[in-house]
Amino acid sequence: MASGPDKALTEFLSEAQEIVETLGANLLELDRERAAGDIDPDRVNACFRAVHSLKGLCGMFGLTQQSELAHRLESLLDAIRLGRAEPRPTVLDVLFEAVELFGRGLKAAADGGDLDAGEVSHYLSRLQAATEAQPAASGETSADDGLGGYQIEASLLSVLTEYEEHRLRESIRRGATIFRLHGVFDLMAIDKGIEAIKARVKPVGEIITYLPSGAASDPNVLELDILVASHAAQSELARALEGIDVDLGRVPRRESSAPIPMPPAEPLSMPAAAAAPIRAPEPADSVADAANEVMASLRSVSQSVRVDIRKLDALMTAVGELTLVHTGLAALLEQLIDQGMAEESQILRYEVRALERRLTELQDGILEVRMVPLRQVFDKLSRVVRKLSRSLNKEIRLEISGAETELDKLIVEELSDPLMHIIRNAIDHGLETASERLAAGKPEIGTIAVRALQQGNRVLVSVTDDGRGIDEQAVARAAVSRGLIDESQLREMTRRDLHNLLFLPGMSTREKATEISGRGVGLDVVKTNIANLSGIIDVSSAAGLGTQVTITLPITLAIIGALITRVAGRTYAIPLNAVVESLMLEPEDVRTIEGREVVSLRRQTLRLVRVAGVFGLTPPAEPAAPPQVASPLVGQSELDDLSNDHLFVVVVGIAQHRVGLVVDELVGQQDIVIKPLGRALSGLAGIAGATELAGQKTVLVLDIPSLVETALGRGGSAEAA
Amino acid sequence: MPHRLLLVDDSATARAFAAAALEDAADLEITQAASGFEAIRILPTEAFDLVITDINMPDINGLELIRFARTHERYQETPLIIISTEGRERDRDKALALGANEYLVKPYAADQLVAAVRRYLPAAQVRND
Repeated sequence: MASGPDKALTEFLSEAQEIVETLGANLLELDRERAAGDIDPDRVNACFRAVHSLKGLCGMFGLTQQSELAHRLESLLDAIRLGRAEPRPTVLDVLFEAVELFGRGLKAAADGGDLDAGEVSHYLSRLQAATEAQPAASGETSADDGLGGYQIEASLLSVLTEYEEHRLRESIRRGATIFRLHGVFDLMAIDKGIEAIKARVKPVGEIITYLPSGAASDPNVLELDILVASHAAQSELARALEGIDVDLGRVPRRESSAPIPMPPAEPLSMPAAAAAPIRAPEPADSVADAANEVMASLRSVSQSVRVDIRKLDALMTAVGELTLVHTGLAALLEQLIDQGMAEESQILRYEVRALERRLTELQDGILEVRMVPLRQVFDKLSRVVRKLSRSLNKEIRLEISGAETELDKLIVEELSDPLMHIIRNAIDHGLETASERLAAGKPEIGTIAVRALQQGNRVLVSVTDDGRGIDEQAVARAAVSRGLIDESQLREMTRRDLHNLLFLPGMSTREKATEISGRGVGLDVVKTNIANLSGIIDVSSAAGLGTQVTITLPITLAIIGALITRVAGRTYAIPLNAVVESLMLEPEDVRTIEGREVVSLRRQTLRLVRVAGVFGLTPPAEPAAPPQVASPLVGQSELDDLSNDHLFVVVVGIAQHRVGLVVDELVGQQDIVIKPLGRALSGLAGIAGATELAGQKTVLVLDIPSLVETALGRGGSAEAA
Repeated sequence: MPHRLLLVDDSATARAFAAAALEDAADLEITQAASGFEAIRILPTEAFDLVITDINMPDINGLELIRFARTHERYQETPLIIISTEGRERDRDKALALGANEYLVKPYAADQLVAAVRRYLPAAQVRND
């Protein structure tokens, strides 16, 4: 377990990573708001605060390069915050790059490194260039004082920070009305009171600052003036504040907006308000309600705990051990009943059942903790689309839905690269140029939709573009000319089969990889990556209308469905996600080609692997009793009818590779928790781990990727085993 | 009796840095506040010998805090050191006008902070190590 500096570093990395993600998400929002012409000042401020925090954190951990990077970004964002620089697209481009740069930097920090100094200085010079190209920002040096005739006392201005003063002037310039709220707050509960007011004001206006009054008669209360800028009418603001015990008034304004000398004023004395203060009518206890409401939402944020996923794995293993204990107790109970002690063992029966229920709860609870929303990945995709869109000068509309869908954290992390690849493909190969689109009668701007949806224990993630679709003829020609399939196979293929040819290794309908999608990695790698997550990838397309890639994923890898089989009197579990189908064959179906057993399956040759052969097993003299597993695939009576000559073949596949595993018996289907083998057995070829089945000892889980690889003769040295 | 010092900053990192520097250098009892509100809550109920505050904080900023302190009888003369950010001369000037005694600009070195505190609390015991 990490301790001391290691632990501090781990926490730093995790905190910094979170800040970088927040920065990325806020920049995306900022970009959207900029395009819509309505930038929320809080958005810029959030970006500023993110780099500000990063600067501090990186400085503390001696990451001088990243600290310098954060420092320079802070200056730029501060300038934007103060209206001295504009968040133009070119500036945002560079800011987005910083998100990626920090991502790399934090990875380096995990290994005790930092960003490369050359890389940072190169980045900083581009940052400099992007900012220097700024026209002189619309300064506040207009003829008047920028206060639009509002009679704001000098004493008030004297306590506004430069940023607050900027927000005040900027709001006035944009025609907002300046209001002043006055309230008396219980000092001990002031945070709650303020949060309640913030929550109410935010939808209708902007809080410029809070001004505490120094002189209070009661030491337990604090009088506050709150300066609010809003485009709403006073009545609307009053409605928003309904139930909160504050006085609302408009800061008086002179008719002419000519500069006025600041009247000397007592600290915080309010000039005679233009409108009489309106006291919100609700009874005071609803303030507490509002405050509670806000606190509830704050609590959910502050009560979260960061946990290393390996700790959750350890907990899951512990639950597995407990399941064994439960199994033992259940067996003991059976024995007692068999010995005629049913009456006496009544309590034990209740306890065993209670234990079982609690174990299920515990297992479900741990699984739930591992779940994170896809938002993090989707935000990253948005950044990539934005970047590609700008670098290709090709406008793209990105629609995202289902970002709140949750998946196991490990899956979410591994999903990012495959999705990125699919999106690059869609942009590069799928979407046409604006002129091609117009000629085809389509909207000029292409759309890519990324959607996520939970369906039971699975999550569907789809990437849909409205581009030109897959050129089936070109795909077919390429597959045949490269010898990946032959003409007869081609004739058998459905359109969907044709589309899925794209996932074969070495398939590219373009002669030369482009800068965007060509990274030397094909869709076959994407398919393998998804298969490693126990996922399935599928593509469908309609000529001229677009392409949809759908990825189906389990919501967790901690528990998987497995097919339980018997081989030579032993039990093996095969992960269901690798199972394509199971067959029963006659011995005469098996042919031998080049010393290897194969069968023909729908005109394709399927290589057979006898599991007993792989593990050097000989069948026992007496067939072992069938294990007690729920829902057998083949009923006992059926089994009795079958002659021993039948072969049971489980067709398994990794990506597009298929192999038939020959087993003696198909027992049933069951959810299992895979446990890694101990160190002594970890090198065992063909075995992915172990699991426990009810009423049985530990059984081994087959490692399908390694078995497939060995069978098809690529690499693997396990064949000797 | 060690001198009592109030350290106000919304950044936990910045507070940790300042507190570590001061604790190493002098015998001080340091109270930390993470926001202007927290500081305003603590100030009247305690008696600090020195206050160090950041200026740019959300909600109640450092300038407001200085004014609050100076209108409080107990803190009329208490030394106030403010921490400001590069390029914020206007904030700094406002703070000095409101009665702050000294300012430091982030990022500052630990010994700059220690030297500033010693100027106002000469009696603060200096560690010999």
